[in-house]
Amino acid sequence: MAWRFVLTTCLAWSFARGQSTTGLPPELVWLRQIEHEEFEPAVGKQIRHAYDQLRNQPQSTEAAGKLGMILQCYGKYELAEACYRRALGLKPDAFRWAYYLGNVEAWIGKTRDAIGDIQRALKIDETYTPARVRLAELLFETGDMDQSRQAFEAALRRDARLASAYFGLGRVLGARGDWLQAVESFRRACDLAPRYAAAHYALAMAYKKLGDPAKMREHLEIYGRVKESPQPAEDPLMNEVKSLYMGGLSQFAKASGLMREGKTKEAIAEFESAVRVNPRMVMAHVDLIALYGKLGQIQQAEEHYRSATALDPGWGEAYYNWGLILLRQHQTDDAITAFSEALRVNPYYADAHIQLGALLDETARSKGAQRHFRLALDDNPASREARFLLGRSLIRTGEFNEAIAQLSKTIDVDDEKTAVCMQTLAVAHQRAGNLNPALHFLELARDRARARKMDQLAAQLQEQLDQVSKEALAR
Amino acid sequence: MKTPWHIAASFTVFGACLMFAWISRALTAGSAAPFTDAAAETGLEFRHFIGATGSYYTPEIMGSGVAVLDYDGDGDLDVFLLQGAMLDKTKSLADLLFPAPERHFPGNRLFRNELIPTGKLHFVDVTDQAGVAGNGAFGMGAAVGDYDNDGYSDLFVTNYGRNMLYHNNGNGTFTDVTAVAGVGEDSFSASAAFLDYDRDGYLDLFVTRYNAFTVQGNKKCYNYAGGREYCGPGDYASLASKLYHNDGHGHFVNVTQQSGIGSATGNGLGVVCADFNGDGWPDIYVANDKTPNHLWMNQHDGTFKDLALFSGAAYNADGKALSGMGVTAADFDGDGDEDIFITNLTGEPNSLFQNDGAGSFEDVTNTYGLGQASFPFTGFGTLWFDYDNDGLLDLFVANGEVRVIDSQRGTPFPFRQRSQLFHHEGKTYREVASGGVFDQLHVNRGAAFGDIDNDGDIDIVVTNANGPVRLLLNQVGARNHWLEAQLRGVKSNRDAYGARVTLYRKGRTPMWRRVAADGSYLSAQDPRVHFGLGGDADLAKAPIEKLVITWPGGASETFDAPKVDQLLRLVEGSGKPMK
Repeated sequence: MAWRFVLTTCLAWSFARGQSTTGLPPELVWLRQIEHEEFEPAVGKQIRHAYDQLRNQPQSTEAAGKLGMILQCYGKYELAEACYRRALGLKPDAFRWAYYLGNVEAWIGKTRDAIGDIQRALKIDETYTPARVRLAELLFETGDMDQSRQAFEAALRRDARLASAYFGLGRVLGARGDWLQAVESFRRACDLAPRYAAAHYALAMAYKKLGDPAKMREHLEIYGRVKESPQPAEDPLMNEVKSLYMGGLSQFAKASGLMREGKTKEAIAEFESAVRVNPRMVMAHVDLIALYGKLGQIQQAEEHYRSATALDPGWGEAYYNWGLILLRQHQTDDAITAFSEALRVNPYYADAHIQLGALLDETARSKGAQRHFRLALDDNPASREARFLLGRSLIRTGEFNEAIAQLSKTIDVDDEKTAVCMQTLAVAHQRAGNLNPALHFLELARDRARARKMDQLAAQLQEQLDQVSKEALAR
Repeated sequence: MKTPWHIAASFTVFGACLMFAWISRALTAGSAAPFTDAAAETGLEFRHFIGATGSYYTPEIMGSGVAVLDYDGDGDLDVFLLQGAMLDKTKSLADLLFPAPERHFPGNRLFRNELIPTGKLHFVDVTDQAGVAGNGAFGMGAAVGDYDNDGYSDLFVTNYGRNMLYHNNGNGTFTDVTAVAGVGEDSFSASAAFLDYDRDGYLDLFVTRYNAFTVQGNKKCYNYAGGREYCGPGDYASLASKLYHNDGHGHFVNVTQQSGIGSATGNGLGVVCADFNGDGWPDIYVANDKTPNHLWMNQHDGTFKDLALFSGAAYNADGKALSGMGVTAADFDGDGDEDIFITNLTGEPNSLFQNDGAGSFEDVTNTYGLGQASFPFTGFGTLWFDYDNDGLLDLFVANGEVRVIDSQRGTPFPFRQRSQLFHHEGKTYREVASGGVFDQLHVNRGAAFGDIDNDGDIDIVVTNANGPVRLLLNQVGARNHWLEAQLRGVKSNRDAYGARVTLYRKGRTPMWRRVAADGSYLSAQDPRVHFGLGGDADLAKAPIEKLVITWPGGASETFDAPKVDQLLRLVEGSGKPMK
């Protein structure tokens, strides 16, 4: 029997040794791919720290669950599922792990399992209403409208302030053909969360079904205004997962929002923070070129231009933004080089074609300029700027008929540029000898300028009008 | 001129092929799998080559497609496969991440189907004789149409690079007429479609473009955690699609701007042309990747307006612009209008838009049980077709990822997924858990549908990025009755694209199909319309009464009740099927 004891002891020892080598229970061994995967520096540190915690404490529910949350946060649902399953195996009555497990299962297509695990979570704690909403959504997505409706209604009985539940209930009611009730439900969602884009869109579509185009348009317009806004985040547990994100993209997103709002200094601070977290984030460098350029801080702009092009020479936007700065510095030749470089890496870059064309036109290279304006229009036929510049350049080269054709397409929109477009069209007509149309467009331009309180332009247009009138009389 | 489908011998052989098909059916009866892969055994040996050298060039992950067409007019479907290329000209074969396969031939390949006259389904590579290998660009998609109405199917090829138009000479060869025709757009094109948008009897051409990616401007893109990935659609500027008007003299005029098509840009991938508002004029629907889809409604004067937003087909029900890849249009619910189905990215449901008959759409994806089923997959090629010939339109979705799948990390090209087959159950769709070819993981992309073995059911050719093509032969459809019709326009375009074929059965809602070769993803389909008719009992209960064709020009023509289980050849104005 002694040999059997020795063998058993050896096996147990080698098993224990094997486990301590990987540190991972067998069902989590495939998490080892984390050791070799490429991450942003801060993200890699965060993931590997949580991974090491789990290796050091393989029996810890918290370590398994925490790693699952981090992995879920980075979209690694299959790996997260394994972690949550482990956590739930260690602590079967933990609501949190059952709920998270259900959520990641839904992501990877294990819908029935997802529904089962969220129902299991609700048996552990029926008071967490967002889980009931999530269950209702999953039931809806599988086409089980009756169960979905019941779950949404149950959620709303517990908490009538959940916009997402009203939105979901509206979807179910619409699927049932009850559009009147659906409108009511979507409207409540919009009342609770006025910037809830999905609810406004759904409300617009519901009004369409009810044959109310005015209401439909009203809510499509609101949808258009709010669709980039953050959407209701009514699930604290899922918010907790999202809050674990440590990549540079969160700062980048914040900075982009600030940039859109015109808060240049604040945006710079956030972009700089993003590149500190992830120095290879080229798009942040690219935006920093533009922002520093706007503030006239050329040295900083140049540093980011050099970083961006060294990290990835494929970003045409880097050359373009740098070209704009050079343009403001009146370094025409260097600006031409920068825009040309932007077009080398991206021949479809309409804005770069426009800038390069404008520079060529100003330096008496109108034919080259026109080629770029035409290429810009080829890539973006809706570009009014390219069409206007092409028309203006064609006047310079004496091609009045085509200039008229191009410029005529620039005056449909009524904005602060319309008067100038009309003025240029009038010039084309004047040069072509069509004095009546010239007078007509000058009058229109003057009236537009006056209406927009552009007094200087209006006065200039009046002078031009007087001259052309005299010319016409002289004929 | 003697046209290929006047060759009487073909019809005799077609009968022999039917016999072959019936024997095949008898042999496979009882088999559980609805489709089996017969590519290797039928000589359809083609391996897609992406030429990857580690630079993550976008076309590597997006291509390529396939066309089924009867290029030699012998009555069976031949297969044209698009091939990738090495995009980085500064690198050598030694730099390839995935070595070129042993029997790799550069360029696109055309395989002739020998079913007619041999009676055996077998393919022979005839690329060199036909002269359709391409121009060295990275092949993306194909569209098929007889643009000069001479009776032979011509071939349009989209590329990352210059597109190409091949004129079919009618003798087994093609001529590159790109320059003369004026359709050699040099950018990153995706799906294309022939349509007669002005109903002048000549097929015009619509070409989607993906985005402004270039090799020189290739960006380094990363996932949420910082790992290198292929760039997404929004990492490059979106582009406008192109519309070319056929002047009837072998030349196409670029009417992108004056038609209004150029007024909006998008990351265009899939396209389908159909009359969405029932006004008798073809409209155009484009599935865009992460930008709102476009619904170009024909204004009857050579112009189009994008009405996708107000029609409800631009976004899904959540108001999100999803990652549209492949698209199909058909009357899946039998209410007389064209509905739309779009395949999307992992984490997004596919989209089913139900038409109210006037071109207004409702997203009913979840109502039909298609939401969660598609969530874990990235769908590309797709089509509504009746695989089991029960009269209802089923769905096939060719899936394959574009972002690394964690569980496949460390394996070559870790983007493999299984494809899906959804059976129409009347009020819902049910995924057919069929095993076999539907359990196999591939990086599926294009899918072309047609009755390749002429046995009365629809087969599928599926392309696989960086992998072998698959020929999925239908093993179950021919157990039920069927009817197929090949139309020939006389006043209308010769392919009769856009014609509507309506089958009347006693006591049943009329069933109709559109003549088309477009839809799916980067692929061209069998233009013969196909009706599944159910089993003996069903047919006895609801016999066929008549067949009514609304030709693309608007004229309507009635044909007497045909016999079932046959291919009809119907010529505009003839009043009865050709013998």
